Amino acid sequence: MFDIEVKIKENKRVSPDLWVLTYKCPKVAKKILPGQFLQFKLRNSTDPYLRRPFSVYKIKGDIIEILYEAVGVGTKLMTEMEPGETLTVLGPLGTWFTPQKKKKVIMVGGGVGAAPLVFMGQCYPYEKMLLGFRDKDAVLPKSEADGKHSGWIYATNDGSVGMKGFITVPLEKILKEEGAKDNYFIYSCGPQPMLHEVVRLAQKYNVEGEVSLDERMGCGMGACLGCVALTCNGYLASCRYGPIFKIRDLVLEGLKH
Amino acid sequence: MTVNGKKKLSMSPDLSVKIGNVVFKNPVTVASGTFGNTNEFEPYVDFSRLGAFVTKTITLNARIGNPMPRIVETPSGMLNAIGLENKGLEDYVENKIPYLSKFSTHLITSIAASGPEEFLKMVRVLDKQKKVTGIELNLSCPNIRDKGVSFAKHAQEVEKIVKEVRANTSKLLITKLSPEMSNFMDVAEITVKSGTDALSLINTIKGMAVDIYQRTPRISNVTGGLSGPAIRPIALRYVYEVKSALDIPVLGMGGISSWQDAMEFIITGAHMIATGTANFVNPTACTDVLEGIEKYLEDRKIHSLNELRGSLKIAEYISQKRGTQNIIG
Repeated sequence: MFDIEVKIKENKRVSPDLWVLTYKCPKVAKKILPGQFLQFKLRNSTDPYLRRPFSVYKIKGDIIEILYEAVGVGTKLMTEMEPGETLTVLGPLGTWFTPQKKKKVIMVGGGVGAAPLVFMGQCYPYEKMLLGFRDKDAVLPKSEADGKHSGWIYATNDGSVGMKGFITVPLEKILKEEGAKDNYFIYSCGPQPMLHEVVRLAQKYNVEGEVSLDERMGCGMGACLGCVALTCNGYLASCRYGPIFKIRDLVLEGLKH
Repeated sequence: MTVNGKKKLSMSPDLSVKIGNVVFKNPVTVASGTFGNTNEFEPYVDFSRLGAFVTKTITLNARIGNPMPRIVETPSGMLNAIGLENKGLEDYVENKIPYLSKFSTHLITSIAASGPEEFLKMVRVLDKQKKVTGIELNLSCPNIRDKGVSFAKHAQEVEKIVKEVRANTSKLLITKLSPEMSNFMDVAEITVKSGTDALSLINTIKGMAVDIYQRTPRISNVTGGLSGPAIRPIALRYVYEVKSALDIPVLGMGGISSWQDAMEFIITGAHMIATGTANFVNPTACTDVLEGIEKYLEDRKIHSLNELRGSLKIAEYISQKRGTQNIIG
């Protein structure tokens, strides 16, 4: 566990809605696993006060890349940060995606939820990367993607890029295949209504997988109990017992839809 | 004594503080509910360095807590309505106390209950626990909507609970009061007369935030307890008013994030101080505060924190200001 002051290397807009922030941190770059997260203290001020959790998007040697969307006070402030400015970063925190040896991996992401999936795809082989976005402004540019991989499928709610509709539609097509239960394993991250549908489909077709829950977090270390997920074992702090949960452990009704 | 040619105080400053019959090695502790009740902070803090470890509030039976969302950030603070999620007293005694016994710090167990009888049931169990130094009565959690745990608003209710608990335990008894009682000073006085050894001031203050796009409250409980730097001036004012009126040790808390914040409370008269929401932002907040206080004393060659506790120059300050006013007038 580290709490390290880092210097921003680059902070660039990669699409109208998405940004990538990069910084050098060899210790964490070496240690962090896909799905784990970091708690960012943006500045030494009481407003905003709490840290912001981000999962890692890519690791390039010593460099850590974070994908984010400017949606709230913290992320809007982040867009204004310049190279050379400092951030305090705590981590790695939480659980990680379990690598699969036998099953083919299907990744399902929504919006910035693509981040930990891209990192997972950097580390391990996968069959499909299904990514859904609100509209063309929110789409992760193909230049940011793993260009050589043929399994990338995009969907947008308005059909402006890729398929029209929710990304869970092509997911269901795959899960419906004969033998899907034994062939496939799902990793998913994104907005809760999407995760709700992913979990519902996985449970319906009896396909195993893991999802990353991005509940609003307080402390990031399991103390405040502000980010609990509803599991078969009751509420569990998603920062400590997650953010990666096995689909079979989650209670569907606990997810927003 | 000289170390590497530099003059040093012959000893590091004495930070110890006595409440009731208990001597705490330093005045730094953590606010209930902000530091877990087992190993949550072990990667960051050596608990043995703390004056005391205060647990998240325990109830007799396990509580599942409130639905999500339970927290929301607000300017310089946050609202929470966790709903006292915990695994109950039995689990605490069986699983948490043995773990916490590893550390050479005083263990203070925060408890909440539906009324005097349930408080007594818990106190009788805790009284037998050797490791438990003190019991903090949480009479002020603002986030409970059911009848399971009440928010002791009435002076008579507070009096009954404190008196009966006092009669049934020799442990250090601390009472945490809500800043929202309209007759706060009366309740504080009754609590003291009923035999509490100290007061914890303050608990969170009820607040609210609205999502203007969904047109819904931002936490499931509708309202929640406001904590963080936003409430620090209010907390300090309560410590000041209580210390001015009553002869009772106070544990000051509410938005303390740094040693400077902590010194404000100690100078105003707090025996001990706790970091709360700050622990979420900076996991070493409590030990950072401890080191800061120590350095403040060292730099000023003050040998004991007792020299500063309650040293607020209030009468002098007021008369000086009045004097200025008189000259102008």
